Amino acid sequence: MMMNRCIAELPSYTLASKAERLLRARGIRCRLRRRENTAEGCGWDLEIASDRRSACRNAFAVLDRYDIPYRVGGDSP
Amino acid sequence: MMINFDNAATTFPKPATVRYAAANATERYGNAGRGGHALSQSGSEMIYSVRETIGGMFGAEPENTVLTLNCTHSLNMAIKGIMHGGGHLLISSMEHNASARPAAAMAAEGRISLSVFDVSPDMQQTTENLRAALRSNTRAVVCTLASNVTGLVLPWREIGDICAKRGICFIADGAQTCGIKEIRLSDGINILCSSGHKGLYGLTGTGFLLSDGAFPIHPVIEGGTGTNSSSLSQPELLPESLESGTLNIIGAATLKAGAEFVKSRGIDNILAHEDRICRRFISELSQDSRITIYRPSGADCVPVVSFNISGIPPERAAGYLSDRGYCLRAGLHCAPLAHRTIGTLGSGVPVTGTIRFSPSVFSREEDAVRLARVIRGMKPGGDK
Repeated sequence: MMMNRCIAELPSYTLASKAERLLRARGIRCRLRRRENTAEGCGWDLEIASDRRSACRNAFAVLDRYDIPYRVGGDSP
Repeated sequence: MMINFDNAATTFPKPATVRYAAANATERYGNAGRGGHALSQSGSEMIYSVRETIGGMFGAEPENTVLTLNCTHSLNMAIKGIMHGGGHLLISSMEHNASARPAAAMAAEGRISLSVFDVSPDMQQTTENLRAALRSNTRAVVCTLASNVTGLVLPWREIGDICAKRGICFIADGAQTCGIKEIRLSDGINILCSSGHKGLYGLTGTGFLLSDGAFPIHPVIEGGTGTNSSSLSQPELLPESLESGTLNIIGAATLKAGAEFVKSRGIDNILAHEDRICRRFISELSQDSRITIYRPSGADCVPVVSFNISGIPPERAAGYLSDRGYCLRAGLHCAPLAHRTIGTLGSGVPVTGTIRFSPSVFSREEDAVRLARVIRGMKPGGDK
């Protein structure tokens, strides 16, 4: 099965943790990790991976609804 | 044996879960938000859980939960951060120096105008005094939720309502109230400041500032936050914008444990227990006509009782009691405005300051009764 994968880039661990909890509470699988390469430094990525095509869209919609500031990561669809 | 009735300064003893949290934290956590390795990650996760616990207790979002060193730290950040652009600041006549000094310092530097509204035992009068003192350029009102000298609870919901209708930032000092009374930011409080080591039973060196996000708080300390590190400008997002430098991670772990202890006991149960002890203590002291108790009859008070014994200076009385194993705080309690308000500071007053009695959830009524009997037996010279 094809995995859909996308990344939300978050400015702080606090907001990344909040985002992670919001998504998991809605059944969206995600993983928090330190951003590997960033011009700003000290960023956090929330990697969303799902076999459902709508997962990334749903994830970003949740972050928007809760006013979580994020950027869509470079290798996201 | 030492019996602590100075819990308004810091609760002692601490719950076993708090002591365990301190020991556990020293073995488990690295610096929070400062890297991706396992030690840092465990610290970061713990700190986030503290924000969830403390924010959740008072109705703040985790990202609006700023961890500080104490209530004074929080109040300085709130007052200086909100009044950064100038304007009129209004504080109550029962404020602790934690609020009064930063306010007075800004006024002395000509950065703001400052006025004080009188607190009355009649809460309606207090809100009328507040209304009368408002100006067109009033930017913030700073008010303790309960006096650390008399325990008098101020009408914070009414004050919040007045501020909200005028777009004024309401900064509340919850040092004597958090963990003792139910408080929510939705009561009309824009910024709630508190220590974590009093009614919430964390270790000393803990405090917090909670924001509802309505008023941006200009940082008074800049530095490393673990976010947006390539920029020399301070990040704007809470909580990191107000948390430069390493947090008191061990203290934060104890703050969470303390807050969970309070929730497990129940705030109402804790208040009922401490209030019963205060009422019994007052009843015992009232048998001695030499004793003045500074508590308006019928007023809503947190468990703090200030009193004086005619002919015995407060510090001498507290020293006498300390020699007999009872810890009570005498003097001005860092709240000269409050003492001036109740008539225990100023020219011509018969005595400066009071002796303060403040129980905790661990205090026992029988100890308060024994203490009252020792007090009643005191002679003007201090000897029994």
